[in-house]
Amino acid sequence: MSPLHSLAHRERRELANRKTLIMLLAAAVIATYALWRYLVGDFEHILTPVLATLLMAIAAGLNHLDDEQPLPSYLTLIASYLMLALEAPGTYPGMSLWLGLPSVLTLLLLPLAPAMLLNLVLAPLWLWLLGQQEDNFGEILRYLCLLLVASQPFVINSLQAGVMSLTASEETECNAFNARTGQQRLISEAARARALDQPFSILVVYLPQLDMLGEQFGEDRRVECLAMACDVMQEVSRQGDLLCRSDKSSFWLMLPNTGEAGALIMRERLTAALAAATQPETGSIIARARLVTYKADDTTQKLEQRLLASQLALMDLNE
Amino acid sequence: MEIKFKVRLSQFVCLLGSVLLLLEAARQISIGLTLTALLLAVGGTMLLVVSLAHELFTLRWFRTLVMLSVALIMSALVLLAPQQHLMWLWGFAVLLLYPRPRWLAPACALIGLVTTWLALAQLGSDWLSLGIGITATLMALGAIGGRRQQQVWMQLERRGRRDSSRAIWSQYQLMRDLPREIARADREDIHIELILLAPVNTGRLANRRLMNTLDSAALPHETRYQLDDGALAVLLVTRGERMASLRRRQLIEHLAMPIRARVQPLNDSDPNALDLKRLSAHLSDEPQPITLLPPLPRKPADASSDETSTGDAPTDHGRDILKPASAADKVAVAPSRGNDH
Repeated sequence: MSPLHSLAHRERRELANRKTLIMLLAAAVIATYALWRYLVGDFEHILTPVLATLLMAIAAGLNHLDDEQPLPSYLTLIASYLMLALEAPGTYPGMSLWLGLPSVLTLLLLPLAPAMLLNLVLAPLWLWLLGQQEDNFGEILRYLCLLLVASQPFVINSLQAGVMSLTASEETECNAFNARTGQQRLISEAARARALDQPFSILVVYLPQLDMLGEQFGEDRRVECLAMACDVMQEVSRQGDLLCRSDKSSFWLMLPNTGEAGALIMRERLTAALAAATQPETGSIIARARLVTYKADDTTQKLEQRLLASQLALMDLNE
Repeated sequence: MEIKFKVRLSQFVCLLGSVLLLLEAARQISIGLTLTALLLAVGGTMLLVVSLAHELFTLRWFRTLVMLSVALIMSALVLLAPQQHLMWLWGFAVLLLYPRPRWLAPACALIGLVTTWLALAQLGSDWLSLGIGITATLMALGAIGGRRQQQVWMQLERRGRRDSSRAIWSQYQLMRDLPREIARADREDIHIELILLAPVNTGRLANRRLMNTLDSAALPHETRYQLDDGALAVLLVTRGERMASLRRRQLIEHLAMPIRARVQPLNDSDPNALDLKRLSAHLSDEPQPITLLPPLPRKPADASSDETSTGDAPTDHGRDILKPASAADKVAVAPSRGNDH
């Protein structure tokens, strides 16, 4: 894995750990509240905080195990909703202190779209439970204002993430160009070969193990194997060659200024190098590769169709 | 297309928020002119400006000003009219999602915590500690979101393309492509040069027009880049220097607008010596339409020998096998030339 990818991975891991820590602290606070209720002898109000503590603890544990799943966030939300709905009303008469809390918390914990949906659906409930009885219209208005203003940074952020995913040229999981970039580079490489009278070959590489690897050994192993395969392929190829990932487990290795004979040698070396790269659990990497050469009268569409056809043929061969 | 739709959506959310704020302000002013009503009106107007002129938000000072004034207005609302506006207390955490410049997030957090303290202090220490605790928890969650966003920004600076729908690549991509392209051109004995282009009449519109015409004028293998300061660059690859000057003139004629170009030959040179900032500075003030720049310093000797001997023995051996094979193949391919657009 390239240092940049592993850095991003480590940073994400660190942030997930921090989130787990926050969840644990919140669980501890609610547990203290439950204990206080117990010591005071107020047994009627003890069930909710105990339940919320349990939920928060489970959420923290789940978040530590897998930070990609949305389940811990939902569990945290359920716990907080329970506390807010059953404990908060009536604790602060005359002012609607708690009204904004559920919506902001939802925005912070969930992705934008489900958070907004949940906030809009639950708005009447919160207004009824946590709001004041008089001055109702003004309160609804203020609540909606808070909701919209608070969602603004999330909207901007999701916009930027969208721009990034549309304009990224490299894969996030491994050291290769992504499919869109591959397509555009294919067009320019074909045009270059035509303009300079050079041969141009593309190796379509299919790694049949990758599909199964995720199911058998988990996502981490799959990404590891993928990154390793890419590194091996980059190492074997020359500096001018372009590796791009065209599919979940297929790659196009563009070999400019390389004819059929050279590309066939390259194919042998590539499969041999991948077979020599072994991993402790999964063994050597099996690769199937097909050669597609650019012909002088090819249009780019024709070339791309042939590439996709051989990619499909490689997959069929596997089944 | 998709992203345009999303931009519209975000503008709509912002506009709706501003309209509601102004409505609430008008309602309160109709009851009686108070400071909170005025603050609401100011906040609403600010959001209105942001939603109508989204582009302003890319300006650093404007962004900072908006974020800071939102924090201050929220704080003032909570402190002046807690009966109505106490719920804004929880909104401070959201401001931490936008940590740029670096000091802005801590400043907003500080304003938020002080406001919470002042608002809840008169209610007793248990309320105060509870409020501060919840605010701090929310802020911690917000700070995590902010860090995630910082990663997104980092990746945005490293993105490959400037435009999602066109093959216009970024300066980052240019710096990644250059060593590869130069090495390739040197190996194949082909002329390579970087042409920097800028319109004579500076301005956003002229730049955009140049980008559009360049898109159709350049051949698919003449890779286009947009540098970080907006200048456009084309990586021209031809069989010889004479062909290059011909193609260069043809390209500039095809653009059909007054432009200035600087040409940097790249053969056999060190890509690290290329200073793009200096190269694109004051480009539109050049007296001549085309300025030929002197070649860059050659690659340091140890670096070039390093390049051929990197990796282990089989890799090198393979390179030697590959080259003659591909050279022999050249004969088999019939020469053809054309444009596939």
